[in-house]
Amino acid sequence: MIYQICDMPIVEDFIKIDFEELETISIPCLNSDFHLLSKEPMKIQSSLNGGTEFPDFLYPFHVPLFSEKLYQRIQPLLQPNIFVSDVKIVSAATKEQQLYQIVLPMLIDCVNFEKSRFKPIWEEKICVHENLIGNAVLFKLAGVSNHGIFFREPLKEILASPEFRGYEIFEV
Amino acid sequence: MAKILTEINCQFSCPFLAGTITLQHLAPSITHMGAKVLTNTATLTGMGICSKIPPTPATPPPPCTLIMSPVWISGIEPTITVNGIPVLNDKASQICPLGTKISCICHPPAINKKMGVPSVDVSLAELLAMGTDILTDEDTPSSETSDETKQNSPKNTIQESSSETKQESEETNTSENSEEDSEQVQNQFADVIEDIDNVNDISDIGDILEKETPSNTENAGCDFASCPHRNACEYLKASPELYPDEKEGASITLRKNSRSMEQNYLAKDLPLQEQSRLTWGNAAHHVISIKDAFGRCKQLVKLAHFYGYDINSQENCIFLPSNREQGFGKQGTLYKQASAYEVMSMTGLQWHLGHHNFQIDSESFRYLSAYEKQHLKPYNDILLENLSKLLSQFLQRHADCFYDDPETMQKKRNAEEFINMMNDYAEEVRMFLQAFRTPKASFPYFVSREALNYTYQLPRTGKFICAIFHPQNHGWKLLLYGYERLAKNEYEIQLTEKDSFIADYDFRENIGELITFCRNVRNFFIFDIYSKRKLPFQTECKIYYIHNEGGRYFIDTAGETESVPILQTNVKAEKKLSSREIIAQIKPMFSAVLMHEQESRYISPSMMIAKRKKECGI
Repeated sequence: MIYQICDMPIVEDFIKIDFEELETISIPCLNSDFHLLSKEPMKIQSSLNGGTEFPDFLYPFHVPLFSEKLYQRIQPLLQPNIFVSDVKIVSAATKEQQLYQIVLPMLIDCVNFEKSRFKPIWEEKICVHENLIGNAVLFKLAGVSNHGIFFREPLKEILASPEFRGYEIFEV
Repeated sequence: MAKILTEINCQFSCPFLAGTITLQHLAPSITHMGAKVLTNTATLTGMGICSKIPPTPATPPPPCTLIMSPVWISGIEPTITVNGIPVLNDKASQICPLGTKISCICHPPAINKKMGVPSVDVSLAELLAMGTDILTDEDTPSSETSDETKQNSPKNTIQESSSETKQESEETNTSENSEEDSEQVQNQFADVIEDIDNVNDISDIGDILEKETPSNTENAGCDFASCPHRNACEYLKASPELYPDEKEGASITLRKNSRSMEQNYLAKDLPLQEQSRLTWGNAAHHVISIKDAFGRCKQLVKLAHFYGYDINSQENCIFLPSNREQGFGKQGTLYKQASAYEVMSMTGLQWHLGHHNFQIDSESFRYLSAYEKQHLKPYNDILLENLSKLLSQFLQRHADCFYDDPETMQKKRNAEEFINMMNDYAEEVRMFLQAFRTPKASFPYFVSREALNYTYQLPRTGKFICAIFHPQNHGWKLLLYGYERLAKNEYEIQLTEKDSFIADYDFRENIGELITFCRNVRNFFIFDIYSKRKLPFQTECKIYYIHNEGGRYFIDTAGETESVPILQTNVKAEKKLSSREIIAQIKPMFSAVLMHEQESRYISPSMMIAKRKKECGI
């Protein structure tokens, strides 16, 4: 079973990140170009147009940000070929800081185009060849317009835990 | 006041004449409602035997020699002129060559009271159109003269057309007319003369005529001027204006005609009122509005009169809730809106109060879809638009003459179709109005501003903060609630507690944390009997004070504390309730207040916190 994790950009209580803060890493993250990304820790400021609460998952401009707490829980289960980098987010309103991790998985060309149905997002149905995914538990899909973060069953229990908040999980 | 003479409301007589005196016009005349106004260019011609000169055995009685020049010795109206020619009033008289005074007997014309139009002649608009041609004839004033006259015509002077080429009007049977008819006609005529009197510009005449007389377009393309049946055609006689008894007291008439419908409505409505804290009345609503929709479509009114359609019939009625209390209008906006919203919520019907033609600025409605923004219009405008379409379709189906041929019974068949068409449309609109339990299902028919607001302006979700004094900590406990309107019942809200915060007695400590806790919340409910507690910031915040007197809670909102039952709640409890339990019990009060919240510019939590911190100097 495959799932997708989505952030909740319309919930006003959660912080938002402006594009200017992520401009340099947005495209490399979109294409999972690890070689264009730096391992140097980043410090970015949240937008004044957002809220003040820190969710456990953010996906602003194709940059997957997991809270440190969540990352520590899923890290033992992740495959090794994942790009990870520290990002410190500072709330523009309260100046509160919280550590996040960019957790960027590889693109995997595993979509079963014969069974998939590509329509507007809410009607989309993506099917994958599970045998092509290998041992990856967190991945992105190559060759499709859905640039979301997908994961497999081992992570489901942790991500679905009420301990973490600020994101949604959909079964693909 | 002297009465202005028209051809059909006067008769000239001579005491010595055994015969009739006929009128002739030497100049263009003006017509109102089928009757020509007499000017001092009118001449009289006698037909009959004159007994002024005693007959002799040798000579038989002489015929009347009354062929008079247009010299009127009295009865010329001093202030009103037509094309520079004075008009005559009921004192008009002439002296015949034999010295006899020919005087006027003023009497009412034959008027069909229901139709409001005399049974003769054509409209003045038609006469004006014909008059344009006549002015080019050799025996009439040249166009230059006419133009000059137009330019030089003084105030109270009218350029009008000749009607000499028109067929002379039929004799009218005046003996059957009542005094009431006479007064009505005279009053109508006096109104027109008053309008004419006030004309400052020649171009205004067209407006007056358009207003006062049916135009040719109202006759369904009927070439009535040359129609052989025009004097007998009831369609031409039918008035394009609403009858007085249709307009005045229309809602009372409608209610009288809809007794069974009212009974059905009350059977459902009264039990609801028994359950509610409020009482309300009801209004018999014309599904097709009379004045602003039906009455504006003149040709439709004419057809309705012709076919006998009753706009005040039960088929055009729906009962809607409205206010009952005296002095409701003097209540505050909050109370009025809250009452209306609660009633709409309970009855599932639109609140009927105020104009149907309220202005809509669709851009200010946050929850409108693009389609709704494009098509949302005032109630009467939509009705008028659709009635015009129906009329157009009807006329396309019946492009022929409306003259009722007794052999074909055409009118009877068409009348049935016309009335069914109107009733079907009223039924269609009524279905929309009755679907208001799901408010958007009534789109685009909203009879009042409040109904429209109820549908589109209520905030779906939001947040508010309750501040409750905590005696143990000698401080305030702030509870942040999120609310969401339930889809099934727009008036009801569902509360979810999101966060809490302890503040000191004066809200002076930890102001930064307090501001952060308050996020971008605008509505604050403070349980404070003295109504004095202030928050350390004022930016974008509205404070309501909740008082408790003997288990009765009420909200103080800008002086509307008194007599606001909707904002009062009795909380009966055997044990002492916690803050959260009290809040849960007085939830309807929050609902009422939060409905009143005006849509305002969105400010994000971060932005609001920054603003409030700046205000507090942090």
